[in-house]
Amino acid sequence: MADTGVLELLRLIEKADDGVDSVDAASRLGVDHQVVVGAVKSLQSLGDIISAEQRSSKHWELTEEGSEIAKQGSYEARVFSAVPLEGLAQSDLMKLPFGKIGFSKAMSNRWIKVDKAQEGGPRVYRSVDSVVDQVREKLLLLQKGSGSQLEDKDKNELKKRKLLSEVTVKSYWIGKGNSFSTTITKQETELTPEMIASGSWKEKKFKPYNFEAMGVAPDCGHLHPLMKVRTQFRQIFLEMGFTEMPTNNFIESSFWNFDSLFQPQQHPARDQHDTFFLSDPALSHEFPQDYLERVKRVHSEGGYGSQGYMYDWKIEEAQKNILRTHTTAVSARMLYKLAQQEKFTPVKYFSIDRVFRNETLDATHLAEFHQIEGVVADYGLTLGDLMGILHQFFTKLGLKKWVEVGNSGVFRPEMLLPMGLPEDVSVIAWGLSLERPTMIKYGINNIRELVGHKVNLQMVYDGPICRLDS
Amino acid sequence: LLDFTFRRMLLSDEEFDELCFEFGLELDEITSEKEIISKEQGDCKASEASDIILYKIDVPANRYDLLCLEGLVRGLQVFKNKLEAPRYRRVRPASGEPQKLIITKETAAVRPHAVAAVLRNITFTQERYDSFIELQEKLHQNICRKRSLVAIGTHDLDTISGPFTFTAKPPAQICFKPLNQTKEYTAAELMTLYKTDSHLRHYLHIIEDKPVYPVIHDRNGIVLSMPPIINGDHSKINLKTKNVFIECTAMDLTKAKIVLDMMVTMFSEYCSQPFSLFHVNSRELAYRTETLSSDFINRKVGINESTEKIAQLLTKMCLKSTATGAGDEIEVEIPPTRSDVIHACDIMEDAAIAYGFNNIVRTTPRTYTVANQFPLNKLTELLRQDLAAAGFTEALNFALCSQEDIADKLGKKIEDTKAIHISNPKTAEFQVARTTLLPGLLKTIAANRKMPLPLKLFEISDVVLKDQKKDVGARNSRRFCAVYYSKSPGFEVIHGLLDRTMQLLEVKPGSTDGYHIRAAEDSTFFPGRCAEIFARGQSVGRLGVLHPDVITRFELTMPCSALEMDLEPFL
Repeated sequence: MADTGVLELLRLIEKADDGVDSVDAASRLGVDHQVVVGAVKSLQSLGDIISAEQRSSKHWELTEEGSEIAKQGSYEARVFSAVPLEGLAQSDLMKLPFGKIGFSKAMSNRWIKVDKAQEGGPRVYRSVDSVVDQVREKLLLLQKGSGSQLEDKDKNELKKRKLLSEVTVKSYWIGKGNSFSTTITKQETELTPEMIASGSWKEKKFKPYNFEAMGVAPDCGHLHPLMKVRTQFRQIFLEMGFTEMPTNNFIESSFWNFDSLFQPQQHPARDQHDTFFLSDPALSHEFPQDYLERVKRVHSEGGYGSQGYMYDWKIEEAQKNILRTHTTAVSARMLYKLAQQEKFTPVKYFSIDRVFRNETLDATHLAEFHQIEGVVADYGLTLGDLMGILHQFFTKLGLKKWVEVGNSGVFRPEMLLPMGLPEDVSVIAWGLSLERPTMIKYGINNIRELVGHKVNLQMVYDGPICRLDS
Repeated sequence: LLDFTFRRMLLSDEEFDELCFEFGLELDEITSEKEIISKEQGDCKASEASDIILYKIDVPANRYDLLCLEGLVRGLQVFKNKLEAPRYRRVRPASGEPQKLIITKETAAVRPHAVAAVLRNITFTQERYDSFIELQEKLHQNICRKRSLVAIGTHDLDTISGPFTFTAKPPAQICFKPLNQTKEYTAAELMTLYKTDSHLRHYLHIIEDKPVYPVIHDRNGIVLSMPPIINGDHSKINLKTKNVFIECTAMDLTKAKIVLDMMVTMFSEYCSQPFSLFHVNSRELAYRTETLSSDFINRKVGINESTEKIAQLLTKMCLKSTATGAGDEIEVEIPPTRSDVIHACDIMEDAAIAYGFNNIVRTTPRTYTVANQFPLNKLTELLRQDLAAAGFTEALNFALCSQEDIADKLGKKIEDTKAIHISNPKTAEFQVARTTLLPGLLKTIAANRKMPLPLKLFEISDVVLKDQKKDVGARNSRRFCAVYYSKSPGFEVIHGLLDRTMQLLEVKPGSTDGYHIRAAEDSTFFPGRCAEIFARGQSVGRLGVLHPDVITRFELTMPCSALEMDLEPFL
């Protein structure tokens, strides 16, 4: 029972003015010190009934041998009393259990003497009439707790003889708490259905909770941090009225990825070092033929007010299949589709999906990443409109220095007019990677910790919800 | 974007940064040779290097006129109204006939085009000479596409005599002393010699397999160069060279002209008649005139400036412009240095730069639209939330992987996978696009073996499959995959997740309109522990306990069950 001695202890504290030491209390209550410590702890858990300050003190304690001596007398005293007036043969004395040590101590105390000339071996005689067993007396004093009457020299002497040892005692200085009382009610640990049913909870006192401890982690799944950020970007675009483009086509022809965007066929981005080409299926075969002819013409001869690039445009180069290097390939398909409508309608499009680059990899570059793209097509859009919408978008992101994370611009007429879009329609667009703002947001330096199988699942488990603007 | 490094001008760093921004450039870094070397090779190697401050500037990829100090300073001075844009002139030599470059028909087989020019009475200093060589190298790396499209050769005209001939000959018939060598080599020998040259070996492939190699020689047969590989030693230029003969040989004539114009316009300021040069039998160094309206500029930029003001803005950008007086018409003269200006929209962009992007008022497009989600992505978004709520954690793996990942390791043959193949992967990690999400999840577990069990992971993402019906011959397929990894296989957990998923997708258990699973054989799974998933009569995927060989091949040690299914049938 944890409550053993609690009431007795409280009564003791009630009487003490400045408080009481727990060791002292134990001896006064006649119980083991541990019982008092237990009582202190259980009282502490009940609130501010008592105050208890931990302290430590040193005191002397008799060893097992010391206790035996306190009871039976020191070895030398026992030797003295074992020797009768007529003396005792030394060999007989040595047979006694305390004989050897007692003999030499009694000799050095000059309590006894040895006559070596006796017949039948040396014989021991008393050399004084009586003795005072100081060792025993000192030990008894210590045992009674009156060790303070002894000098340190004595204690050290006894310690050397392994009769005494110095021990450190941890104790409490116990005083009255602010809500001190000598009567306590037993506390309940938890509310139970029975208490609710009977209403007994009203009378009961409940053990306080330890609010310092951590709770039990819930058993749950987690969304990936990059995908959480993707969800927020989708949300921002949807809030701004942008419709999502179908970007579920990683394989693209060079035609839609480059040529349709007026990217010349010798452009470095179309190099083997930058783009993943396919060996199977290596080529695309179906293109809108008349549009393809217009693209070919604007590259090789110009037109639509453009000088063109004046080079020999080759269908073979446009047919080459690749892993798309940007989602703008999808934007091109969408804008072409838009141009085929009987009547042009303004659109706002967005997408967030994977793109691929055959680049050298490092801590911030992977061969694939997610591109975020926004496109607006309408009559008479201006550079001011582009800057305005970018401002709105990045304000929603909570990013002040957006210049560094993205690219933006106005699509060229050489791209739009061959598609068949009206001449006075402008298309503004911007793009950025999903990974870069996510790494900034979560303070991740190595992209591999975020994307791919080397992800740190603990990071995923511990991830916060994503609020981009906070 | 190209890095451009040049020496400090008489401006503070902040002022220079501001000037670059105004001019549409980005000051990337302020550094020094010492700092660069110390960063790349350590402090001890850097102690000898110069600590003169260098600016690193990002230049738009098509602004070749800003690639050297001469062009950049000229551009900035015009921009700050400190200098009027120079007018580059083609002139005839004071005495004698202009030089001629004869192109023979044999060149058609290997490198069909060539243009040339002469810079007369030029004065080089060490700095000018270095800049001249550096510009040549930068052009070679960029617009010349590592010499494959255009190669530049520069020669001391006073060591050779025209007319010059650009022809093509079998390698054995070409013999000359190449630059910085002491003896003559045949072209065939040169190709062997340069196989081990750290710089030149990268260009050999351009002509290596051709029956004839291009060569330029003078009237006496002295070889000037064997483009695009090496020049002759005879005509090499040095600091004392007075007259420079520049030839550009090319696969693309337009680019050859741009490159030649760039070389001569940038360095003609060091000629005795500044900005004058001598083009060899060519009509190039052309100025072009575009006519546009100030209304066009105002409308596209979103400003409202007078015709005269816009003409002034353009003139600051080295595009000499005048208001013609006919309405709001502006005539813009595009100099040969601005090969990037090919449409009125490029002129509009320069007007916007000169006006200052920060001065343009930000407006909101009035475009009214109603937003729609892509249905497949909407389904994905909603399902992901509930799968996490079901206790599974989302993984995100690469779409590209090795053949081994999707075939051998899963106990399959690559021919049976419908995988698309990449022709130029740098490593095995990029051989194919994944045809299944399972390998990615197993690799994620392998990389997180220290985490407490069970590991419950899922991914919803696209795989790529060959599909003849598509214009590109392949299509994406949206998949859902989940794995359970623990001390016991936990088939019932994965099965339970399937039931929950079907509940979320509103498909009830049942064999006709609902879903059910049926025992199946699959080498990825443990025999007798695999089932096929059918929904509304259609097979949509599989689930089961993985085969121990599969577990071992992914460096795992515990039993594992998995589920993978198509999501598109549930749209």
